Amino acid sequence: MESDSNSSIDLNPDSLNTNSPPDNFKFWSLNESNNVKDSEHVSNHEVSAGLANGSLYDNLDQIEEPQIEKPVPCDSMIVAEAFEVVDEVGKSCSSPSSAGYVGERGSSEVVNGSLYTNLDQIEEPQTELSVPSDPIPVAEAFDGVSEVGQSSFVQRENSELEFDAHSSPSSSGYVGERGVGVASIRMRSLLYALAFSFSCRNGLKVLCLIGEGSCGPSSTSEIEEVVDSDADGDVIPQENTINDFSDSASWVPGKRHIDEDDASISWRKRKKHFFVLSHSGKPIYSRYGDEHKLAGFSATLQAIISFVENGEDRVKFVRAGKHLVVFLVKGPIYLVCISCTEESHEALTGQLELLYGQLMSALVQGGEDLYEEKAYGDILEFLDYLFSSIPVLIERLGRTRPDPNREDRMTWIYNNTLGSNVDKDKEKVGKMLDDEKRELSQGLKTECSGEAGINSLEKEIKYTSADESSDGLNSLSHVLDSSGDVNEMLLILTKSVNRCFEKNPKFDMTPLLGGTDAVFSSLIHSFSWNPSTFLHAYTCLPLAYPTRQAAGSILQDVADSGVLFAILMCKHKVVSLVGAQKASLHPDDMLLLANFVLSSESFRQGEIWFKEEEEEEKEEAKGGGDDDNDDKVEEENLRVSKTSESFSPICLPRYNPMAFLYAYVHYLDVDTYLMLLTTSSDAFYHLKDCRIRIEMVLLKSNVLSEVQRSILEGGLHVEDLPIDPSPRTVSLSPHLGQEKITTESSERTRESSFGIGGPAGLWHFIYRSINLDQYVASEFSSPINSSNQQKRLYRAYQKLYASMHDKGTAPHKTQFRRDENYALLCWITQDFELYAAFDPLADKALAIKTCNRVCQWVRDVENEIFLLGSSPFSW
Amino acid sequence: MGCSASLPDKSSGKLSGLNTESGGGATDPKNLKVKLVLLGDSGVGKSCIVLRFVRGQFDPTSKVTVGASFLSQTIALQDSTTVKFEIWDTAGQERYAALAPLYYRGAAVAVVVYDITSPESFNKAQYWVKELQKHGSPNIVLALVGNKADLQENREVSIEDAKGYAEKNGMFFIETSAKTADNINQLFEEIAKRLPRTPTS
Repeated sequence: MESDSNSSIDLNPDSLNTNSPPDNFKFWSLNESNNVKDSEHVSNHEVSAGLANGSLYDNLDQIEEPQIEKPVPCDSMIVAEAFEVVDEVGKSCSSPSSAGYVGERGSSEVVNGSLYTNLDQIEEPQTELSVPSDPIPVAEAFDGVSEVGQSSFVQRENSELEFDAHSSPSSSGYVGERGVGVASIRMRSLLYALAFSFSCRNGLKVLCLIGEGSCGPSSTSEIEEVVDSDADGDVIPQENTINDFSDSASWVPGKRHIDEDDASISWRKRKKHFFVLSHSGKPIYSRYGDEHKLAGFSATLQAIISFVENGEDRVKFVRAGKHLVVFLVKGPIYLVCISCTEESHEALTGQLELLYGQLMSALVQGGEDLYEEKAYGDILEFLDYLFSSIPVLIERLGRTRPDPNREDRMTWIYNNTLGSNVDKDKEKVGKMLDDEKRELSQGLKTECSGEAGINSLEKEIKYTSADESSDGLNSLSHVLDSSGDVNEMLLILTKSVNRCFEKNPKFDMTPLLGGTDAVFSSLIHSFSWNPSTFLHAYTCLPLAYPTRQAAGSILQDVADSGVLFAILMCKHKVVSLVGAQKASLHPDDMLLLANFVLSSESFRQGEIWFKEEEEEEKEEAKGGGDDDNDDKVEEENLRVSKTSESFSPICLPRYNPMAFLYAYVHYLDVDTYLMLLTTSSDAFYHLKDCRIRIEMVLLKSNVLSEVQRSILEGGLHVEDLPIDPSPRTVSLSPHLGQEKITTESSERTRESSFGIGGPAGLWHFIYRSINLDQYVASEFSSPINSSNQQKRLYRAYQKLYASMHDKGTAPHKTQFRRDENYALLCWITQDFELYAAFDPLADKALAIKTCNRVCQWVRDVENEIFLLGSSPFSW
Repeated sequence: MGCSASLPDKSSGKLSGLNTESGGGATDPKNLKVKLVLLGDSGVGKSCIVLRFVRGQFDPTSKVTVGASFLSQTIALQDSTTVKFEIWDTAGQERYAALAPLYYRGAAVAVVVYDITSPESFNKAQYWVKELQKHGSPNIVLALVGNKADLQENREVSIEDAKGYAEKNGMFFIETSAKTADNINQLFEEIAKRLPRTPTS
């Protein structure tokens, strides 16, 4: 395709789309004159995202180059250096001295969603502390964290401070002056302690809390502070050495630094923390350190979140010096990221969302997990465990009989199980129960198997009412189980997982996550190298069109036979993917799925032995049995027996967060794996047959060897960017697919030009096709060949992405931004988004021209780098 | 949070197990094909036993099994019968416990594994035995396996206790070491011998 006659004269990147502006040239010149944001100053300061068109960085000059103070003695740190930063609508925010807002805010109401806490007054270490009006809550709230705060002092270069003075830092004269309620004091203590423990290195100067109020984010502002003059996205070199090994190429998933806790210096120096906790403050997951040792810290985070929630508001993020603390609340699960990587809060929130998704995919089994957790098979024990209500339940089973009316039976079973521990306060809870009952029965009717579900429940009830003792309970669970369909019951159970947290705040979820550390750590690692995490798109392995077609057609065959999704992937890249009719797979789900499979060693288990053992196996098998009657199939089975196959439940949160699918996973070679997803729990043998068929076809049509070759050759190299896209000779990917001869030659030319990147100083680009939900990223050129540089570039892209997709402002079309590391250009149309990184000294006009060529190039080779056609996304 | 089991597909929504037609035995008494499931706490060495048996290898790095993996291995007995084991190596994590019926339903053999250095895993093994007695196939062959027998010095579960428990429950008992390959083949041979030779209903 793409060889239409006008391609020689058409530079229009939009030429594929009929809706796009017809004259691209005009489009561009317009952009150049009016629309391109050009902040040509070299600044280490993050340019505030998403400014209004035209009036862009008006204020930046004021912001830029803050006087940086070198490491300061403690008491001079109290002088806050807050710089006004343009907020989303370009108006400057209130100055730090308006921090009294906290006090004025009252305990529950939020005006405009903004809340500033100016800690510089609080932090004054020399201040004589007056006792707060009600010291007890303060002390309580502070208990868990005072240690943190204290020990962080140890690190400070100039710590002549008395620890005592800080054990209740919020109790400064500030309290009296402002007349802040106890809650506010507590809030500030917590923030203080939290921020303190994280900004130990550079000292906390200004802390700003931004709430999400009725007026929305547009009215929020930030008081930001720049601490380090060399804050260029990479943090203190010293930290790099202790920090995550994520930079090394040989990154292995798994939990690191398990021995640390919040008292360890090394722990506090980590650049990016992720926490998952329950709404009661119980730690569920921490990227670093032992969750159980972080209970105090978790409690602090929880206190902050719930404090703000009490005000019917929600805390989105807190900025503390270089650190950004981002919160995400998902029902009873709280997720927190504490980062000094200078990533935007939008980016970090997105990462937390993904982390939550991954948690879901693990926990989902959670529905059943919870059921098994302590109960070990007995459903009533589970309910006991869940609601601590078994005595009540047994008693009730003994004396109550369900009414024959179905609706009442629902009530009965509901009241006697889920609601059984509310005896004391029936009146009050009655209404709640009703609501829940309705919800429950609705849930049963719709989401469950409808009639069947209710019938099975009825059956249970009959059984239980027949026997009135605890024997009855056993028989109930037995009936449930032997009916072979625990699904209905599980629906109830999972519906009440939230309740489980509500009613049993002490519920500890960590055991459920056993063995999943690698999955989470690998996901977190991918935040710094995998563009899928912020682009919400997936990428394909470059393959010749016929090759991908061959793979696609056999997958399609399989999908027609009742497989929901058939996905063939190579590492993180898609070879081909097919969904059953109307089933569509969200790119985020693919990311989570691939991450889950790639980070779980057990899926690969067989493959390790595959090659070594091949010979022996054959002999052994021969010696083993002489079954000649099962000819071909049996032979296949012998092959099969060499690699393990897995069949595992998995949840795709975007597909359906309330259900899980069964995944058949099998590695076809070292990097290539096949995933077949189904809704049916007993489809294993069918999927196994499918896999055998697929594997045979793939081997016959050389898809697997093509895949291997593609891995070696890599994708698009900026050095290969056609000089001039207009001549027709430039046709298609020189290094792809069938045109192998050209490949060789271009390979050589590229090597000769190695070390300078592409034309016009083009270093790297990402092209995201909006309709396809796919992106293609160029291979890294030599100017950015270290993993640290790559990480930094991705973060720059991330910021760019966030600023371009900021909901608060009008959608942007183009952005050009230059800093000491790169000149970045972003261009968004209806069809695609292009992110390109250039040499920081690159010429802007030339860069724009080059981007046009990149777009043309990508489109020329699109059938090799994208999965086109019957994409499941297009349904 | 959490979720229920599967989707609309109600006809197959039942946990009917992962069976071939001949899952519980084979029609040909000379060439048996049996479904075998391994159960036990996480980290007791189920996967290691399987890998030792199927591949003759031992991998000391721990790899947490996800869901369950499927492997098969055929052995020949003295009386010239062959037995093909279709092995379901299940994940030991709590998270997957509820899904166990999916794997053990219709199994002709269940191997319950514990770690001789961990009384806790022995308790868990007893739980699995009870579960299997309640819900497993009626004629299921049960084997109790104490793994990590090479760690004698750390032993916490005595042979007597385990043996006593196994006898009481009509199980076959053996201690193995996947690391040293001790008793691994014996385990499967013994199981093969105990299989009912006439097809089970």
